[in-house]
Amino acid sequence: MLLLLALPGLLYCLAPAVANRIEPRVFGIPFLAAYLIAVTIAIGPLIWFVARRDPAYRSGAAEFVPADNPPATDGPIGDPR
Amino acid sequence: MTGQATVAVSLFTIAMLATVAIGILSARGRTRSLSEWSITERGLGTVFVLVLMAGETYTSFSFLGAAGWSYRYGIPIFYLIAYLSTGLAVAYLVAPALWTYCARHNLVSIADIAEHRFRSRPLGIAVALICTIFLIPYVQLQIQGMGVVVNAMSYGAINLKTAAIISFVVAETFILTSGLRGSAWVSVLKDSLAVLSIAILAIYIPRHYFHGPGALLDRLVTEKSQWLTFPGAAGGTFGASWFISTILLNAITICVFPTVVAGYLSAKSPNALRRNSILLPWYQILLLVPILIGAAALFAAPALANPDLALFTLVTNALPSPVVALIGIAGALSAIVPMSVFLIAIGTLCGRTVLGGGLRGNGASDARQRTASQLIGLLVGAIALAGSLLFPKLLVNLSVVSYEGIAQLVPAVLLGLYWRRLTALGVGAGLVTGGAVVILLHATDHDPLIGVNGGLVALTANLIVATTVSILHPPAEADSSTDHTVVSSTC
Repeated sequence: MLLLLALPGLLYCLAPAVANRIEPRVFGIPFLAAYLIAVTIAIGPLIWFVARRDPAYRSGAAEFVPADNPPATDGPIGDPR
Repeated sequence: MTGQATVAVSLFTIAMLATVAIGILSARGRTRSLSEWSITERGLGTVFVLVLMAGETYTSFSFLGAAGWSYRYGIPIFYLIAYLSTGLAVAYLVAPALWTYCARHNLVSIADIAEHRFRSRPLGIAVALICTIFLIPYVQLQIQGMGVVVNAMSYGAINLKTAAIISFVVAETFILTSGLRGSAWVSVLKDSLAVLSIAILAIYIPRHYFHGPGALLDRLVTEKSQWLTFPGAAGGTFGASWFISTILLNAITICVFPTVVAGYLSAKSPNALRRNSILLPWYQILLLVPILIGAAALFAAPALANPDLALFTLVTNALPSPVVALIGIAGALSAIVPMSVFLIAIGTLCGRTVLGGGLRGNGASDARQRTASQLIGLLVGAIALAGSLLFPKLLVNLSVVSYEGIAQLVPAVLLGLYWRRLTALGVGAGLVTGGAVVILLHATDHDPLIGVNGGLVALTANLIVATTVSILHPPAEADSSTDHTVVSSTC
């Protein structure tokens, strides 16, 4: 699921290959610009979609840091206040 | 002074006084620790983190530069929106990881991360110095950006140098008292004005100069079609491979950028950062407006000597003075907020890591580290101000490679958290290699190299050397970076 986070970068980087043209225009906007704008608008909802299915987000848990592996004994760090 | 200028200058004066007041008042009732000054003692909730992050990425340079690039090159300017948004997707994972690591071990900057992870003070100092060298030009760019904005919005009544001094005084006054929390509060004012200005510009400019945005787009398609597809106008220096390589490089680099990390560390919880990644991409849509206005200037103000003035030329020609002042104030605050964040980051890096004895402190108390950090913030601001008054070109040339230079810190700050076998020796060797490649490519005029962003070439070399050296020279005993003697008392 977290792999979906690579999608925005992939779609932007594909733009010169798959969308490098002016026609068809979307609401008058040249196609390439429309494509880039559409990707930008889709990123927020995409990350939200990923977060909804991310156990760390749902529980507000600390992120797993491999350098601290085995995990620190102080447990998950949430809001300290 | 003309009537128009009087209106603009009065409104500007009120706004600057309000900025200082908001900044200073935000420190009331807070402790006077280094952690409060540098990262608000991890005290900001989702909304403030969002506003602060928006505030520091949306600089005066975005206002002027996005319009200028759009005017000069066309579609390649979308790299800005693309890497900021992609960076937020990367940050969904990276930001909470950096936050967790720093909260667990009581760290306040990326130099702290390197020093703690590799148990190496020299590496921490190297990170701090590299950041400082590459951030000072950004401070100067903001001061100069503010000069341009204030000069234009006051119809020439306030000259570039006076504007530079005002930006220095305003920013220093509130960061010396309130630190990053002041920046976050001033960001609230700044973002409200910026969103309002953008809305006015988006509606008014296309209507005033054309018959609405549709007519502008039609003219672009028929007369300036070169601007609308890759490789863009002006000989295509910034073509498809440059676009792709820059997005890849910058999307990762922004996650270790010292000021952005300070923003991450100021969050109350990891979820505040994850929510930031969900919400902030939409903010990047606002950048479309300066881009559109840069394109409008192709017809409304052809043959501009300085394309960075594209936006303000149209604004001062088309709008009444109170609105010009509003947009000018938003532009000025877009210089002051990032400048204050940059100065706080430099202050923390030098005041704690280089002068204050680093993590162990070597006898330097928290109060001393904080005072040293504040003084460094003042000194560096003064250096950048002097630079902008005396040698406006010198440091700005360095800023061209700033992003590429800071990118070389990715192994030290980020890879180390994910790969336990990475060693200080490997990181050091990679850093030297990457730095040398950046300098070499620039000195020999080979950046971009065959269309690829030179920073990505350097980072690749850096990563290869860092991993190879780490594998060939493993530490004498098993990696000991897992001891948890420094578990933070705040966790």
